Amino acid sequence: MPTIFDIKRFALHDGPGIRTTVFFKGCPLRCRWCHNPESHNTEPEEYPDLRQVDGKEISITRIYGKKVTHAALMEEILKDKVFYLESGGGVTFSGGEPLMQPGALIELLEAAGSEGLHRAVDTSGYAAPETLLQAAAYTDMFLFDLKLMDPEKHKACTGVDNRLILANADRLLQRGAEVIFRIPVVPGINDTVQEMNDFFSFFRQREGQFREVHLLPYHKTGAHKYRRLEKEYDFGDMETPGDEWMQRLREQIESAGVLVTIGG
Amino acid sequence: MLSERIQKLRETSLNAVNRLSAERALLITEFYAEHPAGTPSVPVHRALAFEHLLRHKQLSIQEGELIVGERGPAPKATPTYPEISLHSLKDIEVLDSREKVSFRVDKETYEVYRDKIIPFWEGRTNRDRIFERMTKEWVAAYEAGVFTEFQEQRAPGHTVLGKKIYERGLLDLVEEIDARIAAIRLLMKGASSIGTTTDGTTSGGVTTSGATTGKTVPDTAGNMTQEAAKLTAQVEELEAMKIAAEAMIMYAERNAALLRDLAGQTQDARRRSELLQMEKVCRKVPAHAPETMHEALQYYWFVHLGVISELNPWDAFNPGRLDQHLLPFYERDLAKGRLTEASARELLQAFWIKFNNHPSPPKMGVTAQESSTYTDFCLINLGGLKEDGSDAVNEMSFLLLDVIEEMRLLQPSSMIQVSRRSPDSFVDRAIQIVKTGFGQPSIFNTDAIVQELLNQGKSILDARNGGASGCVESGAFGTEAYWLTGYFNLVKVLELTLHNGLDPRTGRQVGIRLENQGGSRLEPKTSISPGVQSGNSSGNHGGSYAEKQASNGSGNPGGQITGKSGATRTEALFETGEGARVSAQMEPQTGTALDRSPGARHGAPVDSSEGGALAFESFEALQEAFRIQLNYLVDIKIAGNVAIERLFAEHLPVPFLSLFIDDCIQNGKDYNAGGARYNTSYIQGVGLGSVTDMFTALKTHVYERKTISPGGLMKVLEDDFEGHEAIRAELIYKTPKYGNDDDTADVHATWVFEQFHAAVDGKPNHRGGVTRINMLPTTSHVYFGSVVGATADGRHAGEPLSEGISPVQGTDTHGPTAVLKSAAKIDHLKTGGTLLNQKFTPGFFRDERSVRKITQLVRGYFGMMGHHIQFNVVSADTLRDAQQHPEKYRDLIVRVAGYSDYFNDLGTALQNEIIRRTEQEL
Repeated sequence: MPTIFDIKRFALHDGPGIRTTVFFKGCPLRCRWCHNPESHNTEPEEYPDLRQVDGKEISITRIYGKKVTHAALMEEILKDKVFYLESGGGVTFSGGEPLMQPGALIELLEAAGSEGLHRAVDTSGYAAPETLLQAAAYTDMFLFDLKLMDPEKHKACTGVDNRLILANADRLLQRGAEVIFRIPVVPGINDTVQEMNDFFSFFRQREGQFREVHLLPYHKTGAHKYRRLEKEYDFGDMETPGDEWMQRLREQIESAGVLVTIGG
Repeated sequence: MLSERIQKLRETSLNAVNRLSAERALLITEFYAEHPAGTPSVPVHRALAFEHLLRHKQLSIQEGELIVGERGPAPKATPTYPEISLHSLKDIEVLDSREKVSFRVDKETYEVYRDKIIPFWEGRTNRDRIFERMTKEWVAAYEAGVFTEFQEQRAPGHTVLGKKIYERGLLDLVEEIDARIAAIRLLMKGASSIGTTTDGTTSGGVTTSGATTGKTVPDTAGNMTQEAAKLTAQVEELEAMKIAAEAMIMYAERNAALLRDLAGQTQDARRRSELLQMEKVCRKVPAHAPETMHEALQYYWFVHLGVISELNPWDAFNPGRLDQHLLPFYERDLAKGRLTEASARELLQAFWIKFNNHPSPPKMGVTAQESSTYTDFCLINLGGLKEDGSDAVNEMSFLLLDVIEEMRLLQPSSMIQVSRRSPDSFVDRAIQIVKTGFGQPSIFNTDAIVQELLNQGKSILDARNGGASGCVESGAFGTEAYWLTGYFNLVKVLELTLHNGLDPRTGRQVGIRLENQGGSRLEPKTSISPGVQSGNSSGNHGGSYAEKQASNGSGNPGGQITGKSGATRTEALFETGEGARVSAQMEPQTGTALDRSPGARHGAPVDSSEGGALAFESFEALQEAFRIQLNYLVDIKIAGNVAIERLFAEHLPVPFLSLFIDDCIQNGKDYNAGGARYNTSYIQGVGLGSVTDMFTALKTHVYERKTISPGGLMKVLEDDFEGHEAIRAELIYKTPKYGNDDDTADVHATWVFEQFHAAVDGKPNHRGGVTRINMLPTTSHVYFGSVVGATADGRHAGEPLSEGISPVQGTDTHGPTAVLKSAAKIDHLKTGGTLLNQKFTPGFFRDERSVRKITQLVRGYFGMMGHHIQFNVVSADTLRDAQQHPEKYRDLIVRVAGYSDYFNDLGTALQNEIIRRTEQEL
């Protein structure tokens, strides 16, 4: 039974068409800027949700995360089938890291395939190669996150080394999988000249093996969730990168011969 | 982009101040004073009054105009209709001074009203007649806010023109009328000598053509007299139509003469030739069929003016499928070099401005104070299907979309009809305009509209020639008189149910008082006075309704229901059966609950001596009580409708409008008397989202989780949640809500919908047609909310209800696909229209890919047979800023509910509601 922390319907930016995105709970990375702190642990977590009702503060207990049966999850996914069929859309498995729950993920990918849905997996790339390749057999598109090219900086900012991630990216490309690389643009962390040049070279070297890069500007929607979970967050005051800056980064990456979309 | 001429005309129209004009009232009063009503016959009297008006009204031609004619003496000078309803001096003061959409009243107008109009009409208007005839049960329900009455201040309308005028001039129609009169006269002679008569009227809603091959009736004196009277009435009506047609030709000639004068006065040679050209147009149409696009547009405009001057029909008037009608003229003009694309565009823009010059006639009484919307609901249809079922989208559809975008005017409003066959590019183009944030065009499902109309027994041709008018109402254009009769407050019905018919706001008994007699049946405690149908005591509502009408008939002060009760009964029985099946499906545990308490099965409150206060044995018992109250109140509304329709048929025929709606001429029968091919009356259900969430909350907390006792909840509601905030939080946050694709909640939406449908659908009206439902609120959900106390869904007393079939504001948390899935669970095809509002921030439409995804979203909804969807594209911050700084947002238009209005012109409550409505953030 997979543990998930959210299901978002009418997701327009996690692959082609109108989609439903399923967020798996649990992640091997701890990106300092992460806006989904509730995705970190695999186990469900309770928190008090404070609401103003007629001027009084009422606390409602809520739970991040839920173990759901395969059947219940498929039922939820299939609710929007009519819209997937109209739009060439389907389901995206995201997280957290969906590959942390490989058995459940592959079962779902298989089931979605037999319903004729387009299937995407949004991954950090940090997974055992055999798991990744197994999933790739049932996946139509990977949304593959790249945070930083420098291994040390990567470890400092996310808690893990990126060599496995980059090697996994190549495994997918060599297999001929459809991959869209996604870079969360975090001001001061990975949008420096050095970092962008590194991304550029990485893409340049793989020109022709993939078509698209998404630049996702950092946004601070996560701050209140850190407060709820009583976790520290040192990115709460960071501003979202401006449109002009995003355009400049886009132009630079585009010159590597790939299609770049801001915001996915 | 806009020519200088159009810019000027548009500015003038936007800046023109609404004024009350006494011109029409004065002319009509003058006429009625000299010619007593009903002489020589009612229709001829009305036609002559119309002629008097057109002969003497002041003409108004603006500098630079290409299409001429105004309803009042100047743009936005708005007439009144004292024969329908009379403004008091206080009303006039309110109109002049109220904050929103005022109508300026000058001293002269005020004095004319005081000295001439009011003294003549006081106590003699149709509104007076209506209120005299309504039963006390009707008045109680009306005053409690169970329903509203459309025809109380305006004449029946909601009709749309077909293609007739583009093929035939008024002189052609006069010729047809003369032939009909001659044929009838021959019959009258024949009837008196050989005793056979003809029946050229409608039967079963479909015309029997070939009136001269009528059937033989028994040769009795009674029949002879009746038949002769009928034929005489037909001749009178036809004569009236002829007078009205000739009056309009005369009015066009007056305009032509003025155009010639103006041409003589101008120094500008270009304008002179334009004016002379316009003069030529006015001498050609409406007398003769149009040949050019200019003539077609001017002809339509004369007809439009005639219809809205004759009386004040609801929803102005409407050219309907304009792209279909205009295309042949446009193509011909282009081919012959009479028009270029640019000059055609300018002509269409000039036409657009004419609509914007005509606000809806000002209301009176409480509505004058409260009503804050003054658009007149003219809805241009684009796209859809051709008669042969092929895609109707054409070059003109796209050209008109350009005009809509460039003009950015409140009126006329516009919509696109999308069928499976419509190209994506057409929908994309419309959504690109929606994206600019002025609320137009709205988007309709042609495939659903056609099926709705077929379900009502219309021919496939008439169905494909149809569309939607007003807010979202389906109709067969050019052949149907479909009247909206009033909004119906579903939430109030549940509130009354919980109090066993007593209105907690006033302490008056408004609903039926139910008593559990311990047996298997529930009976009304008090007897219901004649003319109002009692709540049915058993499941077969349709059947008992028709039977009781038949026996009650003539003694019915609420109006006699005549017509095809047999056929209706069968249909209603069928529907009731279906409704029962649905409810059984919804409530699988019904069986066990019923076994425990036979009385509960029929909705009896367990303890009716305490006003019923929610003491129902089971949730099913509560549902049954709701069903009984609903049927009781619907029957009161329908009895009132029948009486009111008869008043219009008898006192206020509309011979001019009748010229254009088939088959009024053929039938020799007025539009207001059932002369049209199809005659439908609608009751509009309001508050579906709210009533659904109330049922869900009651079931969840009172009957399943039993976290609160019935009495406890009633106390919480009585206190309006004061001191019960935690309970309110449970009701809001811990209850499944409609609009999230969650069957736990949505089953109650379909259940209520089916009950409402079963209560209304198929019941006869006065015009040989039947009553049907649609689901739209316009702004009535605000008024209806104001008369309902706190409700079990966590809503405070007095707050607005949900609108259309949209979820309660702010409760849809699973995104638009979930809303559409929930909304599609009700059977739209059984209605004559539903309204679904979705608000998007501009971010949703940022690039072509996003626009296409919205198109696909719409197509998904339409694939599930959703009827209509509209998008409000604006950010909440923008709206808040507009509330603070109205001066900065003079042109900010938002979708209200089925139409758009200036944000500045809306009342604060409505503004707040629009801000609150769920924003679908990315």
